[in-house]
Amino acid sequence: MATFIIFVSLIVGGFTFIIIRISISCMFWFSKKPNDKLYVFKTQFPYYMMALIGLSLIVIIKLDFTYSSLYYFLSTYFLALLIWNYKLKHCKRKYSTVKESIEQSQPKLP
Amino acid sequence: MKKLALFISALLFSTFFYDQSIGLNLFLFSILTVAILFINNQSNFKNRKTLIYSTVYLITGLTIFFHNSTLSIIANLVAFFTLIGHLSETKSSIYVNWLNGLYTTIAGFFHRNFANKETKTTVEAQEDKEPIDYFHWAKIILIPAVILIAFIALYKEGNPVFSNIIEKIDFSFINIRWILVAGLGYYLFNNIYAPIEVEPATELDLKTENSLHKTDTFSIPKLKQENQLGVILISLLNALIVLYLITDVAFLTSELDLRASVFSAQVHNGINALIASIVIAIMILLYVFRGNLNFYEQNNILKRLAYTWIILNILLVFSITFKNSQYIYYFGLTYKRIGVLVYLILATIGLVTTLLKIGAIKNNWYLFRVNTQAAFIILIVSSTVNWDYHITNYNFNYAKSMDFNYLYNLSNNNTLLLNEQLASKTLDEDSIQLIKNKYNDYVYKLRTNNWQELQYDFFKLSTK
Repeated sequence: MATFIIFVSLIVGGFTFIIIRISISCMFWFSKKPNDKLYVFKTQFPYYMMALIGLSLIVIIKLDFTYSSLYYFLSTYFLALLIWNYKLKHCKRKYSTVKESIEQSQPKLP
Repeated sequence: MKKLALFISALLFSTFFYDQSIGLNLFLFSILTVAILFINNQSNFKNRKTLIYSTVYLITGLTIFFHNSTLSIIANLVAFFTLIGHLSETKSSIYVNWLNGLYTTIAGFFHRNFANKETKTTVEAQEDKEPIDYFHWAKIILIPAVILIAFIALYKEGNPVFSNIIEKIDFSFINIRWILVAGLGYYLFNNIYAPIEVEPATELDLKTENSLHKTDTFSIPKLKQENQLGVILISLLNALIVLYLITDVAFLTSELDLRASVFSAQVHNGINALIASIVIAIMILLYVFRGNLNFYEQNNILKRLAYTWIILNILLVFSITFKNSQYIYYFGLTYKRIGVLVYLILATIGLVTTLLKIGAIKNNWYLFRVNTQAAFIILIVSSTVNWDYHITNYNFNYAKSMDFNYLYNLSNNNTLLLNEQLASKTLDEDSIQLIKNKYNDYVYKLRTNNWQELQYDFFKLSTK
């Protein structure tokens, strides 16, 4: 039973991690200035967190405030904050913008 | 000092909410929140509006103690976000306050942590940050604690009364979950003690004025055409609404005998359509007076027609109110019927503010700001009313007919009243039994509640 619980937790946790990781990356991909972390933080982060909390609350209310839903969404919330923290402070990846890609493909324009 | 206040608040938060239902605890939490915000934002509390929002927040907390309803909990939550959002930027509109309040509650600590680190250079940050002396903190906590425990042990031996008091202190309620809730409380208070703002939205709101200005596209021939269209459209709509009101009055005065049954159909079929018509009326006026037509010199007729149309729409609101009141008189009060009345109040405010907007040449943001403020006031005022009690009281004592099952299925706020009605009203055996069961369950719940879950009804019960 314990093995089963650990197995299910790992699958659910992993799936949640992937979803949140991709959704946060989307915030950078669709930003006007994806390499300006402060800009992304100010323009995308507040709305992302509010949307996440809003969706979580809807599901928690639908599930009648069960302990499992509370624990799951609390973990999801802190996981999202950790991923944002990583993306904003430690991640050194540079995103290519549409402008850059056009310039690279036609470098000798007058 | 700040850290200590947050730590104590976290312990109190867990004491109030761990394994408890809602009651006195939410009012105590409201007081605690106001205290924490006051300690950290003293200059803002000199502002009159901040004091008003704080008072409103405390009042909504108190209403939960008096009648624990979903509406009062929602009002308390909205007042909480409003107060926090207002402290983040005192000059912003109320809907931006809600946005800022929500954001502060969710991610205030994270925002401050990241935004401050980004704005300060590393040298400045190093200058500002004092190293934490952990050894000193350990000394401050451990040495007094050890000495205190030693003295308690000594005094216990010397005085039996003191010994009894010490033995009665019970910390068995503290467990892992209690500590987790305290941790959450600490995080929550850490988020809200210094409110932050969603910068793009707040900046945009502060930049946006209430007044409308003439734009570069001002063209008299175009405006003349627009004015003509507006005059024809609103004249026709005025004629139509006058005709409708005349037929409505004729209908209301002629169908006296069939009133109960006819009103039922009328209210169900007609009110939704009329409500939609008022919203569309406001939208048409907003479209017509959206821009340069406000500055066209020959728009007097159009403006007078618009004022007339607004006044006629207000008369339409009165007509709907009359129908709804008749319906309530015959079939009793329900939440939906009260909802219609609340909507009609909001519609009247919307119509009056549209009139003011046209008169004083304001933009749509003005309308949105004033109306959200009005909606907030109505929410707060309606949360102070014990609706379940009043619905039951009205339906039992004044309405021509009533639906007992509806009253029985309302919250416990009407239980004591239902029990009182047993003595004065004649009800069938099943209904009497249902009321007795509901009353006994409620009394048991009130008597077994912890002090955190305390409700005003408990004192009402005690005085009987």
